[in-house]
Amino acid sequence: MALAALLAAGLPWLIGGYHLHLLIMAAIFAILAASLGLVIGYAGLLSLGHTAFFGIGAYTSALLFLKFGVSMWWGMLAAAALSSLMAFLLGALILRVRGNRFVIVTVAFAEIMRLIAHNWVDLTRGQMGLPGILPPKIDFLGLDFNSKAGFYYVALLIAGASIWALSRIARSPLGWGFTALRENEALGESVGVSAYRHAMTVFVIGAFFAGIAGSLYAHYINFIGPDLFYFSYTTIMLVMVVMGGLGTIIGPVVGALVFTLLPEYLRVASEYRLVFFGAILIVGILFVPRGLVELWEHAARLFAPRSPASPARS
Amino acid sequence: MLDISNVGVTFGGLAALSEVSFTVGDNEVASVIGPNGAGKTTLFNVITGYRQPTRGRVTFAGVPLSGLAPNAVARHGVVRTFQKTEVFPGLTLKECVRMGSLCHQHFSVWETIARGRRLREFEAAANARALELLDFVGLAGKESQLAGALSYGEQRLLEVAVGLAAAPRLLLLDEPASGMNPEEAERMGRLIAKLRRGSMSVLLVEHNMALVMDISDRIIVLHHGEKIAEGRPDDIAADRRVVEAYLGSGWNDAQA
Repeated sequence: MALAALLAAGLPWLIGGYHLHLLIMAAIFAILAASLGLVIGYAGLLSLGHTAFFGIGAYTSALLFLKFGVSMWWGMLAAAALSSLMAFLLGALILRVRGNRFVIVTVAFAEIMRLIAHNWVDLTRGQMGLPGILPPKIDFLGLDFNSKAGFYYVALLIAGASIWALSRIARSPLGWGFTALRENEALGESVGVSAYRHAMTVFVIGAFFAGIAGSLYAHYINFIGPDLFYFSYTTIMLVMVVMGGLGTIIGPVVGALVFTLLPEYLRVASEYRLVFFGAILIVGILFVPRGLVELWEHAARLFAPRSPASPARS
Repeated sequence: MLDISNVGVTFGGLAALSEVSFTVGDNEVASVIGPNGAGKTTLFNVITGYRQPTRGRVTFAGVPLSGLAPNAVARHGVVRTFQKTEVFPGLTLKECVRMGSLCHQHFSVWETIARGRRLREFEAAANARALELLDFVGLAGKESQLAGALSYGEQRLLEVAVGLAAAPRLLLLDEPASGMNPEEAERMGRLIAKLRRGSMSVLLVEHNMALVMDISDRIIVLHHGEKIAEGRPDDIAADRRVVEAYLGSGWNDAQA
């Protein structure tokens, strides 16, 4: 763990700007995938509108910066707060009755947000988007942190803290309650686990971290537009969560890393890139249905020095 | 302790329960019996908040339960199991049982991330209690197995352990011995008898008459949604109306 941290910290000296860019994107998507992983993998709530909270966070932070000069730090807090508030209001409407209706409403919610971003031209400039969202200025120990390497450290720190917090939540009594929702809601209710309260809590937590990721994205790319609310963003997050491993936090994080880098490295195959990507996805689903986490378990068992047979989790 | 007075439930025009009244006292094992469709499970659903009564009221230790959600009923100390076996199939036995400990404790998101002393002590206590209860129901040593992989009879024992983890004062068991072989049913009977040695009351719905007669202090008989008899096991076994309800009228005459 310490070794991985050291490696992550030293990377800017080892790799070029393009790879650094990919890692920053991976860090942003790691926050998104891990938070969606808590909602889908632990609580079993199939929220297909996660990108709505990503977009709300991005627009909140961007508009605060462009209109009032609010720095990313405060903008990020506001982004997380507004995303959570929107999740709370949406949740109050739809979380009493979950299931199919919930799934459809989350998709529709992201689409409504896209239409607002697209049509409220006075505020969002519509399709033209919002350019000029600058990263925060940091001077720390005389080092220049305003470079790409500087932002890399900021992203790494925020992603690390988010994933740490999400892991703690996942394995706490609150996290136990989320799994009751996924496994058997009626049984959970019968022993005092409120399905509504846990569904609301996990939904708001997910939106909170998606809002943070949105703010980070806006200040890194410096430009945002309504396409942030596209369903394709949710699809990417979903692939990271499911292929990474449902019911874990580390799985979606690994998924975010792999599925940010993989499509880029497949560029060597030029026009066959997406064909290869699709083939890898299908093979993955067929042979490692529990995700990359399962692959890791297989590898660990293969290299383990003749340990006594562990009880198989069938 | 549990007071059911004049409870009625109608589905459309059909009366599933009408004018049902009885009480369950402290430290008592009471059983509800009756032919299929008599309204036994509906009665359980009404008591535990899964269905609201059309008429009448249910109170527990003086607190009205009508109108409360199931999780709130559980927090008042009334916990149920289900007729159809219900476990958390993807969780280990320990994870299943400790879920019941969440009943009387709540942690905010901040407390969860901070992992303060109260939370760590709660986790340790919940894990220890889960192992204790698995031992109590006879599933010791299986805490790392997945609930979904247990045999049917073992899942029914697990259900009782999950319910007990919520520290109920009244436990409602809906046909705990259904589908069990005589040996398993006897094991379940001993388990229920052990519960009473604590300070818990049990309300039982069961078709296994040997089990019911053996462990009940009192029996309530439902037929077509109405209470037709109530009394000690010996009295119920000799009650003409009860025999008629189960076997049809004419049975006594044919025997005579």
